[in-house]
Amino acid sequence: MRVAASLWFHADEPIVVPSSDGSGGATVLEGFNIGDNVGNPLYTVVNEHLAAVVMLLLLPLLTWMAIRFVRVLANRGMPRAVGIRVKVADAPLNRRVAALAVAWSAVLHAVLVFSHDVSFYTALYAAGAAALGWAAWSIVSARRRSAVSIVVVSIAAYWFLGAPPDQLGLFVKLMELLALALLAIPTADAQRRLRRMAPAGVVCLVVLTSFAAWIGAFATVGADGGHHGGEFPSPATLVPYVERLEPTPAEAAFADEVYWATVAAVGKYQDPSAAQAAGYDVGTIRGLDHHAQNPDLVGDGRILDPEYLESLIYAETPHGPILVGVMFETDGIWDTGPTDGGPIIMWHRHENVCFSLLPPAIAGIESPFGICPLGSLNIPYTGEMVHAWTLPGMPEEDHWGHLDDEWLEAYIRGLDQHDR
Amino acid sequence: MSDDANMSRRSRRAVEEHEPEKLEGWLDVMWAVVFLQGSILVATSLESLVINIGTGFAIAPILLFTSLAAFITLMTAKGLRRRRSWARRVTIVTEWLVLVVGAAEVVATVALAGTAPQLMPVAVTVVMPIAVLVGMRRIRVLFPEESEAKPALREDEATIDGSLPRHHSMLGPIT
Repeated sequence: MRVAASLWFHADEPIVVPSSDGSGGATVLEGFNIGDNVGNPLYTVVNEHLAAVVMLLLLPLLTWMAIRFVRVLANRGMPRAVGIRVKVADAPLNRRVAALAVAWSAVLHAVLVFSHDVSFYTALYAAGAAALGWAAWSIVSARRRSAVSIVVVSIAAYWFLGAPPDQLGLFVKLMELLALALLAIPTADAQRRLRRMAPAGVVCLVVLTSFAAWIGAFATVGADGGHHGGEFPSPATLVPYVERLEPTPAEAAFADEVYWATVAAVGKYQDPSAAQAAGYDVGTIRGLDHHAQNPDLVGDGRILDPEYLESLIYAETPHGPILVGVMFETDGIWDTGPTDGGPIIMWHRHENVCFSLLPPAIAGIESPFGICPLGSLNIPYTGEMVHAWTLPGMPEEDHWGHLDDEWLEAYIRGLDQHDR
Repeated sequence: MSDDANMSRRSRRAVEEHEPEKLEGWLDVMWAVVFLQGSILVATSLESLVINIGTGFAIAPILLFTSLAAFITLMTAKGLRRRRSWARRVTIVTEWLVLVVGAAEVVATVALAGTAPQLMPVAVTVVMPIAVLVGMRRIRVLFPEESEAKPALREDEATIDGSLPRHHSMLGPIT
């Protein structure tokens, strides 16, 4: 099952995910130094794709050179060059642009063959490059149907085999979707139902590509949510790349001291109205991790101080809201939190968070197509923060970092039984 | 070999300006880019719907704005194909808005995170709007209202061979 999942989600490459159980010792994450922020590939380019990005930057120049080369050869009377030039010149502009987009995709697939270690995927890239190259020529030659089939298969293959999606992969799919849109232009004489439905098909492909990218990005997240060092974080979360996952006795003692001081300090905020009175912006509590921030305590110069908690976290339950934990924040965007807790108090950041202006709230994270919903702005980088979970009975290993939703749901179910 | 292939770029542009049907290819390309932008907004609307379901529709205005933008963008693409002047105006205004906000976000990413800009935001919020704005400028003669509003400009355009026109509708014969 594990092997099947690994193959399905392409998780064995290109990023090495260090183990989170602490047994791994030294962790190897290619391209990163200790202390660097590690994010999800959804918003970056994985190492194996960097050569393709360089090629992408060169492609406009190479395209221009190729056109000039064919023109020179055609002017010298070379029959094949003359044939190419005539076919390209006779094709309508939409087909020429579509062919160019598919040809670029073919070239980028070809580069990926050489930038990956030999595996099942390199064979796929090679096949993709050849098929897309042929599709580009088919578009110019007015063999529209076969070309469209190849491009659709290329996009669908990405849904199932492209994880984890990264910026280069998504850009290549964007070019292929543009090519399909160019070939789906409605025509007045289009009587066939399939042809009339082509634009709707493009919309469906865009939506499915977006959803597949989300699934792929989240499927490769570390087992317990990504807020601990040495894991593969969820999209929009940045965790530091750490040298070790085992704390020293001093670090463990520090983390314990701060944790229990925090548990003692939050007792007075069990009732959200008390928090509201103390200056926390509680609002309407929804979901299992509603953050209520106190703007007066953000940027006050006191970091990781249990008496000055920047945010309280409530969960909505059938019996009213319950306080589940707190969130400490650093003052400035470039500040780093104290590291006395070592790998236990693991600070993290967020990237590409969409912040709604009306009403002011988190509206999600940047979509795989690089935009936020309308009415929200992209916050590209935040200061550091760390969660402490203060519910009674919380397992010690979950005091800091990520809260297991299943544990919380079981806790809430336990409250129900207690009430009965 | 076709005539089109032999024609220099300069003379081809001159022909296109006097034979607007030659610009229809550009109209098709503009339709495809705007339609793709609308499709991306449809996907973003659905993502926003999922977030809204999770938050009890606490950010419903965001869903409404995004869905409305998706609908307007797809309708605008349709309007462009039908050479509606309103569609051209709406496209120009919205593309400028997307470009300004998108460029600001890309700059903010580089400045705050200290990393290279991401490919997708650059492609979708910078390159695509610029491509549409350039294309809109090129195909403006295809939109009747704008052409009729400035008849003197149209008649003043250079002739195919680059020489001055022999007659101007307002000034009379040019001597």
